[in-house]
Amino acid sequence: MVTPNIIDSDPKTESLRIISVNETPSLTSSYGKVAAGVIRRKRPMAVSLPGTCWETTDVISRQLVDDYNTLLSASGDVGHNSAPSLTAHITAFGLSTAMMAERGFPLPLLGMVHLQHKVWHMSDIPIDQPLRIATWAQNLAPHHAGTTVEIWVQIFDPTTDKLLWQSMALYLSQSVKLPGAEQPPRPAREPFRPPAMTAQWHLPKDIGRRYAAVSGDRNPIHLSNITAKALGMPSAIAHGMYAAGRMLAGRETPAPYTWAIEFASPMRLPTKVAVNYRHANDRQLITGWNARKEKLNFAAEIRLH
Amino acid sequence: MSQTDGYTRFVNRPLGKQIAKAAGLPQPVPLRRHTLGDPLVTGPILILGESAAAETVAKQLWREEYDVRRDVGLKQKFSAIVVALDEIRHPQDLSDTVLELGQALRRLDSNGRVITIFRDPNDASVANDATALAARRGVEGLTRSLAKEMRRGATANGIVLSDDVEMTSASAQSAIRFFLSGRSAYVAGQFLTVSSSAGEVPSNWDTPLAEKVIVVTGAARGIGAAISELLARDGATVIGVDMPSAGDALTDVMNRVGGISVQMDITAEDAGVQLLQKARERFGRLDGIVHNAGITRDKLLANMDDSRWDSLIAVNISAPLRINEQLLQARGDGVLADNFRITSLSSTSGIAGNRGQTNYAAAKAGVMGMTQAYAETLGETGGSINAVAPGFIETAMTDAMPTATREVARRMNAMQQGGRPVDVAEAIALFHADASAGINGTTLRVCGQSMVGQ
Amino acid sequence: MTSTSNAASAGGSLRPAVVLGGNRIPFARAHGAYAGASNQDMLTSTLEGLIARFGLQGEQLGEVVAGAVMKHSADFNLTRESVLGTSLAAHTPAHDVQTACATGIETVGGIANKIRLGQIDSGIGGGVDTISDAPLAFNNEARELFMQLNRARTTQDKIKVAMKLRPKHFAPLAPQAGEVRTGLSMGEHQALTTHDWGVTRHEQDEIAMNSHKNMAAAYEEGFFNDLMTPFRGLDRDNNMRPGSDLESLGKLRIAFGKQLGEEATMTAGNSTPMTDGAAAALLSSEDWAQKNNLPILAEFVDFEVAAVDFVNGQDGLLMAPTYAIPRILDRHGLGLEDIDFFEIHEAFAGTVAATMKALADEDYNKNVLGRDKALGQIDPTKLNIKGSSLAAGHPFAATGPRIVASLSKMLHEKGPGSLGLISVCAAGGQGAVALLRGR
Repeated sequence: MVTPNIIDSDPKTESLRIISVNETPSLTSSYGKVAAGVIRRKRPMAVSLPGTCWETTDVISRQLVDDYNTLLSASGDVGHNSAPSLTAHITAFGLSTAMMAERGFPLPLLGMVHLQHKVWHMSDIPIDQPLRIATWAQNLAPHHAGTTVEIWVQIFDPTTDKLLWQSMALYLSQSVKLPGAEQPPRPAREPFRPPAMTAQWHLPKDIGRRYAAVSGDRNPIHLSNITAKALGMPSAIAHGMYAAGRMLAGRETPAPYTWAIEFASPMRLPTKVAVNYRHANDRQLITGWNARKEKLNFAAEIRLH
Repeated sequence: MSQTDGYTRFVNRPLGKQIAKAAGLPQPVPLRRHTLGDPLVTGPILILGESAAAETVAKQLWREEYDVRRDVGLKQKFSAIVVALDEIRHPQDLSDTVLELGQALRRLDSNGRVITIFRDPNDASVANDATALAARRGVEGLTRSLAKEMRRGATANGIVLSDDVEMTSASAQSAIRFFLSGRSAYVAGQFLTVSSSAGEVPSNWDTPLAEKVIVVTGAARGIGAAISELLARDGATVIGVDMPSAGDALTDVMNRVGGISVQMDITAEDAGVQLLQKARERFGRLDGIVHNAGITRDKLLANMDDSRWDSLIAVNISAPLRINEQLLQARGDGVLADNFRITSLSSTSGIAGNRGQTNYAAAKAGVMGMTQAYAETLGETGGSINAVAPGFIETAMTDAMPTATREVARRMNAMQQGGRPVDVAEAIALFHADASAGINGTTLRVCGQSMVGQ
Repeated sequence: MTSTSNAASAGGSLRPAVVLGGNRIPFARAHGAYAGASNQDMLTSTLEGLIARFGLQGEQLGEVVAGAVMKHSADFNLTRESVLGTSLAAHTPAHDVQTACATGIETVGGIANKIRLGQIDSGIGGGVDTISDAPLAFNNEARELFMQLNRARTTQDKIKVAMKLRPKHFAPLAPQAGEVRTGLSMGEHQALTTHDWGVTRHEQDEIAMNSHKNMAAAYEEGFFNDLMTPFRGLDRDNNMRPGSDLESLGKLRIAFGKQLGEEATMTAGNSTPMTDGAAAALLSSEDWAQKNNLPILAEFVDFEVAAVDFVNGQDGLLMAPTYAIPRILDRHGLGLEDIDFFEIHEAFAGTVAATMKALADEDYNKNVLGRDKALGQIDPTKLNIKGSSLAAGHPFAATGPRIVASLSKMLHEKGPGSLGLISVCAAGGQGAVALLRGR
């Protein structure tokens, strides 16, 4: 049984300095800023987290929900008036990325590897209603391949201050090593033994562009082979969060629930992903792998509460 | 299958007519055919002869408001001429009436009719009476020859009455109506023999088969389809039978005529039983069967193999024989009608022979034998059995013949054209009518008086 | 009016619905004999054959219900349009049904229910499908642009939208062959189930061989003479291989479940190919049959549908009938041993084998079906004795009426009181089963 190996972490918001942002920054401008930084060869020199929490007010638009449901063929999975879990992530992602693109951020945004993602979907999220979104980074930590950081997002109902949704994304930067910290050894992992295939996802070569069109995440490594190669990838790869959306499609129940996904290896496009779904008591386990190479792509779970 | 062949269409246009005349080519005309509600004829009918039969015909036609004439007159055109020769005793008695007929012939319309009425040469009463027999045979001969002198779609045919049958009998009426009307379009130089007074006149001559349930084998295509349509037109409900592989064509025909389709191989051991069962279940009665299904497997006898011979005999004669036996075993069970009528398709090949068709001719002549043999037993309860021997009939099968062969076959008859499936069907329908019960054990040729054979 | 002549829908009592017969066209392998035929062509021809067989020309039936799984949007009224093209009275109403491969059981069952309720006296349940003339669709992006074009008011707006159209927008989407929620084809799903149940290649090939041999024998004895009407030059199912034997079947390559490696067992020979065709069954009340002098073949006693949770890997995609069979048998106080003929639709030989194994499996019955004990063994000599889909082919919606008509005839020949059970699995993890009693 393949289970996601998710770090155990809690949100720590004490002593963070609030930075209010009027409008969610566009991802394109963040990536642009980063690209410009690369060209100017100005590497961020900080070795500690900035201790800030960025906040804004935004809505999960009906348009986004419609587009997302069309892309994932997930229409009607959740009630008409509550947003799919991943649209909350998409809405907040611009703010998080802007925060990470700031010069004071210790890890370079470019080349950052998304290792894990965990979401606490605590309450139904209204569509087209103002939401308070907060994001911060915590736990800069050594990793056998570099340095990891947790990026947290919390979404509140602005009138009641009720926490509706929160997420933790674990990112790895392979180009930064924390000074003084000892590199932990590479953990031993059981060799992957493919379970029975219960589904198969056909990921066409344009799926990166299509998810980018919906999410606004136009990271070049997802868009085409040419842009991916320019950034040192062998070919375009699928958005990890597309896989998350795919595994959630048809499985989102009324809140509360949590889900988590661990990305083991990138899904190079186009590809067929062999998938196993299985129930284990109060949770569903979803495993995706490359059947030909017998290589794990991701392991995920959805847990009802 | 063409409605009227191209050549016939050609010679009936002004230019074609001139060319054909100048070159001495055949000049066939489109034949008058019957559609529901048509009168027997549209113009005056001349009745020649002084016999009781002549009187009967005249009165009946007059009662139906036809324009009946008893003398040739001066300029009058005639649609039909009925020649009553039923009372002649000596060949020399023919002279007056026949020569009068000769005068009238010039005024016979296109598609006109000449119908002779005479007594049966085969009647026992004249078996040893040379002059009487010579006279009766004489009418046969003159009718056949006259038929060959007819032009422009006109025909000559004869009604043969047994000595104890009068023209008032239902079958004599049925016969004359057949010959007068477009129903007999392709029948020429032929005789309908009324051997008994059996049968009854229908309440409506337009639907002589009302309420009857009749099986038609080989109903999916060609002549079988035409028979089904005609029997339905005349009021019958048709149980159409054909091979399972012809089921789609059979479906179309049955849905057109409001019949039911039965997909089966008639050579099946219990085919007759199955058909009876179907009729019992669905209609509670069975009034007749048309043995139309047939195949050809042409080959010179020297080259004939087992399968060609045996399969043809099995379908064309063994199956009808077996089915008849099985049906007739059910007589008196309340389903098979007491006046059950059987018709079968024979062929001019069975009469005159045809090179390459020894198997076919054996079967088709066999059909005539079968027809003779069952006549008495069926006649006992008011039933009947007759056969129809078609000549060259335009069907998908003849369309597939080589052009030259087809053209020769098509013109080798007094009508100078091929017949249509409906012409065969009209003859079949005639025999299934209760009015025709007095006609039994006969074979009627529908061949445009083909030059081959009798 | 006495209460017995009152329709059940008006407070009277239920009355039996009976099967009088059926008709189908021969089934043809996709992109072959029927490549030019539409669903409407095939359904109309099938109905016409039925009408001719039973002399229904000009008749106003209670209702005709049919359906197709693969349907053009223009065919929204497929059955009604077909009826209008037949010799039936134009006053015969019709409607379409679609429940994937179970469509044909649902159409017949719906007619039967209306007859039992007294709402109609007679009706036809049918089904049709064509792979050769399947609908093609534009992709979402193209569709959205065409819709925008449609909504654009001014010429300027129209041009603006039209400028966005690219060649890629005109490339049609292929018809979806797999399950929407898993992306796996039906064959891949069955390969998993086949493997789970340890069904061997030999077992499957034997089922396939028997299907071909049984069906060929049925043709030979003329069994289909009054169940079929030829169409477009075919008078037999052209998928049928009377000479099928274990040796030739054993040589075929693996078609599904290749990821199982050595343990893969499913081939083109023990799987049903894509097929075009149509079928229909005529049902009525006993009164109507009597009035029209139509012999009754069987009573359509009951039917039952079920669904499984295949999306989460709980159940095999095609195992829904294992839920429905015990339910319908329990409802009528019957056991497997009471059934004279089993007609288990051969989507794949593995489906038939897995269904039989599951019904006989103690654990499956207890843990999955929630029963006290195993339902029991199905006697293989009572299974698909006139052949089934592996030989005939499987034009999705047509399979139900094909089986209903054949089984009714078998039950009639067996005699009054004989029982037959139909099981049809369907896409979406669904299944329909039906119970018929001979008359």
